[in-house]
Amino acid sequence: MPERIYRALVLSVVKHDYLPRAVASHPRFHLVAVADDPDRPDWTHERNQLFADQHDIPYLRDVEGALPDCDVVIVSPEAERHCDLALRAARAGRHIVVDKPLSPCLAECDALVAAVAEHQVKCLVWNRNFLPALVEAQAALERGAIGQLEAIHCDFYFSKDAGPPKGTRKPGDPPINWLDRQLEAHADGSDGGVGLRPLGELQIEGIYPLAYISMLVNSPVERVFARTSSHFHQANADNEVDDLATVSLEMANGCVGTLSIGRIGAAAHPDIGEIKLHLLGSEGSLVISEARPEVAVYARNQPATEFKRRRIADDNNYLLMQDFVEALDHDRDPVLNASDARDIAATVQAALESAQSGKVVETAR
Amino acid sequence: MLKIQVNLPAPRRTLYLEAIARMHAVEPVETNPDALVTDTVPGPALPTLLDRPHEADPGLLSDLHATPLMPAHEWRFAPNIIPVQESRSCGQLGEPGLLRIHQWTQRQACPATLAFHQVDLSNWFFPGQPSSHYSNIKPDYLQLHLGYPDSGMALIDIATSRPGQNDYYSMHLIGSQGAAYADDHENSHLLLGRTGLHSLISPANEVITIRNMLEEFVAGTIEDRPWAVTLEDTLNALQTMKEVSHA
Repeated sequence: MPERIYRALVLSVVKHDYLPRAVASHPRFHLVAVADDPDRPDWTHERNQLFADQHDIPYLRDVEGALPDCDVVIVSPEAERHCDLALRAARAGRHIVVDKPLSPCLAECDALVAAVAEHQVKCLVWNRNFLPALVEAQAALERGAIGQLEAIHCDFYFSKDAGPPKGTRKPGDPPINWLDRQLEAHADGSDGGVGLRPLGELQIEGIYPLAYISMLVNSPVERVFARTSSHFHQANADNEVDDLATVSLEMANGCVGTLSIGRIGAAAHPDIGEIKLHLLGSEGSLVISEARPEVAVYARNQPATEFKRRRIADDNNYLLMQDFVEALDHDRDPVLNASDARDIAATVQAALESAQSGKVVETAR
Repeated sequence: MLKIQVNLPAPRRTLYLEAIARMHAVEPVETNPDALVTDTVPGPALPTLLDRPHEADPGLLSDLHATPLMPAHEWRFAPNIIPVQESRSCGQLGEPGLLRIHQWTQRQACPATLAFHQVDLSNWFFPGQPSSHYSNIKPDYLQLHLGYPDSGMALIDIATSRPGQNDYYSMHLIGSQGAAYADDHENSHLLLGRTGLHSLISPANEVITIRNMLEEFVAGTIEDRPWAVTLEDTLNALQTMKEVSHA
């Protein structure tokens, strides 16, 4: 009996389109349409239409009308709409692949978790847990290579710029509008925070390293202490959101950890950024570079913006979708489900509260 | 020729003498020195390099402001730290924002006793004293999270009694204009032997570190100028350690 092909509906694709492309590249999924609400601004309709044209599928300005004709939705709108669209899909009984972050609002995350459970659908929140280095780290832990995990530290720096550097706004000039800046950033794919609501690096990208920690520690974060700052970019300073943060973590099983995260500017690293894990176990230690394996290429007249070291053997997209299809086929949870992502959102929220108060904050259960 | 008397027990004495042997215009002596290297708080006499200043009584140190004394903050002179500090001090990195340190060692030691030098580096880079702090302290583990008034932040992770045969050190400093990475992970070699693949990391060259520090001590002494490290720095780091341990 041939394996079932799942019909996938793209629910808004207004920032980078890696997520629907990743789904489409898996042989068990077939894109059927793009859909969005009719009252969205013109720029969203334009981007939705562009993706639909590129993939030769229709663009429908009617979410609820499109939902019956799919098995799975791919949710990739502005960050503040992730939960809303995912929630509507869950209530329609559709499985969900949703871009990160789940939501900056914990109540929205809770509503989605409840809907996913009530309607018995699967929800995969996008992550990087199947990068080769993470797969190796997980395997090393599982075979007991370093004994019991006691401490875990993650650096997650994207060496990207984000508009004018901090301190460059002239007297009398208006503050940078967040959405305008994010729309500009679409050109180089650094528009992960696109939307009306300004989001800091911790809120936009924090789910990636926190998902690593969640997978490797497998115990919830109970308490955090954090520092944040707008250190690099005028857009972040003007909108009072962080671009650099440090978080100390205490997990329920006694493991401790830290996270340092930032959008540190293109000059600060020769490639996409320093992303690293330091693990301390009772029997040994592990230092993992998330970028490896990679191949270095140096050449005369090489563009300054070209990464000199290129990642290889990155099978994350396929493995995520394979994990999801197995979750669908065998009625089990995917590697990062809505509940896991909700807990990460709670950690992020607690970190932001801690940074504000200067005190240790317990995560909301 | 500056005559230096090294009043230290082995193995520190051996280390200092080896470093002195690599220097010009410096002679180790056992009597009639021009300057001293010692680990005991001296009287107000000769120029003195105070080894292991963090082990001295802070109360006694506070009374030594009139003494010609350079505390031995040797980590500031380590080969892997110097390029980071030079980049920072000439403004290449911009405003320092985040310092991250991992120090893992096989030594059977209380991690808090190792933390002094790492805290000193943090207070030096930012500079000043932290305005907020968090710590997680266990018998073989110390995690410090420091926040500085100008929004700088530092994460320091120290683990002792580690299994295996290698120590490990990693440090990076993220600034508003650039970043510096000093990381054993980048400097490891591979040994493919009968028992599989192992990583080899050359230990930090302590002799070079001590020689660098002695050069500053000697130059300050000969030029009769303040040294780059002061008792104030020692007291600041000790104060931070005290606040963290009482948090």
